[in-house]
Amino acid sequence: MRRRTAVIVVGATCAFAVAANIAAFVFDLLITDAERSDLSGFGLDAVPFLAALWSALIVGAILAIRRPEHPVGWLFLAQGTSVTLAGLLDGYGAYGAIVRDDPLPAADLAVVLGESLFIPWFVLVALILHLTPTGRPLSMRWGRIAAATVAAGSLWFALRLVAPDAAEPPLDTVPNPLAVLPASLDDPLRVVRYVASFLTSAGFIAAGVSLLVRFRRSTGMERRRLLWLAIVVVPLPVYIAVSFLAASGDHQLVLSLATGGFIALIPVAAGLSIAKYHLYDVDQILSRAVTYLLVSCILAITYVAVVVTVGRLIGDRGGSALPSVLGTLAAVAAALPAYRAFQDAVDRRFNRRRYDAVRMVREYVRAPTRQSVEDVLRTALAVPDLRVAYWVSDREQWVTEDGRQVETEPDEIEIRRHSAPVARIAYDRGAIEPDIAEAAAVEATPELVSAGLRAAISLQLAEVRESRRRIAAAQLAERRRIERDLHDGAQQRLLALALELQAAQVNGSPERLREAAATGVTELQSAVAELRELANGLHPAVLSDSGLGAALDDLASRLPLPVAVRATASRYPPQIESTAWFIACEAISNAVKHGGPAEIEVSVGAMNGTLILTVSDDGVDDADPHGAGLRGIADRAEAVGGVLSVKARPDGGTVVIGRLPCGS
Amino acid sequence: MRVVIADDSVLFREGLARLLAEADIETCAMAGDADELESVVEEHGPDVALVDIRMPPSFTHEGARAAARLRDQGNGLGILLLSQSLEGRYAARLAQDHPKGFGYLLKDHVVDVATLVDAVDRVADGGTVLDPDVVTYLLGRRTARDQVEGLTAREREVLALMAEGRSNAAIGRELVLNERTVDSHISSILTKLDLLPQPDDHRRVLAVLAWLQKD
Repeated sequence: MRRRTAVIVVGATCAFAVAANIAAFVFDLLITDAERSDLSGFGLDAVPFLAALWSALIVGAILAIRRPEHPVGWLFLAQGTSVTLAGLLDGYGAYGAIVRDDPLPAADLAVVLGESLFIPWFVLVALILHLTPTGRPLSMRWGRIAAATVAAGSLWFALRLVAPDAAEPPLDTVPNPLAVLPASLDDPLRVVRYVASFLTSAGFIAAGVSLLVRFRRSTGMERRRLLWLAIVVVPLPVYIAVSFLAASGDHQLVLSLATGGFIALIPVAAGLSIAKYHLYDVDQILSRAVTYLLVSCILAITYVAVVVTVGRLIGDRGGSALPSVLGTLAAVAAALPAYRAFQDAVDRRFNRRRYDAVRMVREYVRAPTRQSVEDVLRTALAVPDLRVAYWVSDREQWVTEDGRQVETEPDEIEIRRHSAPVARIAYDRGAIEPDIAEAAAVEATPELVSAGLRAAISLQLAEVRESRRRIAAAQLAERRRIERDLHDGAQQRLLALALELQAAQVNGSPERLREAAATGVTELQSAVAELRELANGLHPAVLSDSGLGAALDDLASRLPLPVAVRATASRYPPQIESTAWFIACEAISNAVKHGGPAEIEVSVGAMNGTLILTVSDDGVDDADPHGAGLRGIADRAEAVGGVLSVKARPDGGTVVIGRLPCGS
Repeated sequence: MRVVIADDSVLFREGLARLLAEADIETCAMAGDADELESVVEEHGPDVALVDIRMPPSFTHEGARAAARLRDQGNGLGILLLSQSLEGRYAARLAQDHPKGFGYLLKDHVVDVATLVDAVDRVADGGTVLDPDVVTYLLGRRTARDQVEGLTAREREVLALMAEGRSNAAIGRELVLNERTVDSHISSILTKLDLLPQPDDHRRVLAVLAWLQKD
């Protein structure tokens, strides 16, 4: 349920309760006026009921607004409403059915209902005890016991409604309009009713036991939170016993005191727990409620003062709208400063921790120190393991302030600005109330925004460092490869040639020398060819001489599969041509290695100062953009200020697109 | 004299075999990698194995390790390691670890038939051969350079030849000096470098190398 809906429901319930109380009071006056005070419900014995009613309603209202998803708030509200309704129906029934000569409509029905409404109290209190403080029963088994209690209570309630003797004295003179069952069923149903009432009471006691078990098992904060409720619950069997004795022996006052007192005590105990140990995190709401109350008073006083003063000054008696307009303006002007001042004052009084935390963060935002905002939040909230993650929108990543990637959870505190996420804050939930943490974090928003920008820069720097490292590693590998090529190729060939010539010289015969010279020439030619190939692979002469198009054509002619080259004779800066060449070579060799394509298409074009190189193949496998080869050319592209993208073609195969700034 | 050649380049080992043949050294078998080398040595029992330091599969020091294993079998096999590139400290350490019948020669110097044949002969006789370039490298290191400052030019030449593993007689031949003069140079060097005289050439090489290696 949304909080807005919760506020509306709670407001309606409380308004109904006030109206019902007033109505019950009016009926009581009418009864007393008719000299039938023996029927009056508003005696000394009404006080515990009123206390029960309003403590339940107030605690329920606070809980239901603060935590609409928590059932206990609603149960308290229902409990308060049932007591209110019982009072109203009793008054209406007594006046309408007995005092008046001509009975009011449904007054006899009101008597029966009003006399039976104590049963839901038992059930509701039992549920509250079962569900405090987590909102869930202690275990599956306890959940079944709670359900059984509800079932027994419902049966008892239903049977009591249709019983001929539903009303207790002095209302027993009113016949029960719902007693429609044949008289022969009276005795068996009475037995069933007693069993149901016994089971309900047993379930009620079981609920108390459940709370005590929960209390025994709990530790630390939860144990302290449950302490007050546990103290109230311990004498529960005594209350039950007293209630039954009083009910059987017509001691109305004792019964009222015992039942009402007990039912009043549970919300009061819950309230005490809240005041002392933040049960259900309600203390923040209490302090806020006090703030709003004070602010409302101030605004009302401002309004009235302005209206009265201005009215006197202009000597007008209600004819002009001016006083009320001015009064409204004054109240509006005073609203925010008054709210701030009172929030501070109330926090300082009731919520010291929140007040200190927010003030420390506010101080830091006003005059930032060398400390990071993360450290300030840690200190302010006294949570040493608090962690702030910043959203880098163009990378869609959460990172720490120094640019390291982190995992975040959606249920962390999220600070947003202009509806975009700025930061997420993770902390130990047991260490501080979420309300305080959130208030401090919201206060830190400006610093979180600037720290987020720093985090984005750190991330980019980290990426640049990583890319540099990869480029350096790739260069080293490249040099090793060249060294191996030289060593295995031309060097061995030349060395062998030297050995051959030396051998011929040692031999000395002209024939042997001629033979060696012939071999030598062939070997030297091969060595020269090998060196040329090697140099070509590094940086083909055709690339510098005739440009990218010519070099790609040359490459295509030497490959064993069809490569379609679409390129103009345009020239680009040497570094860009060389990078584009590398990208083309790597993309082609990648396609051949992984995709087994039938054809490769290479196109080169320039647009708005950007050279666009596309290598597209129709192979089967998707290329892995994080593989060493493609990662390497992505780094090369980034090193000259370009970008590389690798995409799968819809019909299979891969497209590698490099965009390099070429200044023309 | 019978040798085996281990080198992964067919061109090189064929060329080397032909050159050795011209110098009346018989190549009884050739190998392309370390495993093959061990089996041909076992089969043919040569006097000397000429082994390329770098061989497949890893192209690091496969050859050197295989040679060390062969030496440890103790059949008096001489090892002449051939290297494409100068790895001075590694070569010196190898020479210290296996002084008897061990040589380290750059492939550049293999082409010089006199050096090659001399090295094969000395290794076969159980001597030590260290490539002149390695010695130059060791002498050129900063720590050594400072200490050999005090030697005369002639003494430095003698020291270099001692480090290469030459005998007194060989040093005399090389520098055209009589053996008595070589002796006096050597004792002067040993005194200046604070080294004790050694009873034989191997230990002398070891001492000189240890001295050259120290930091």
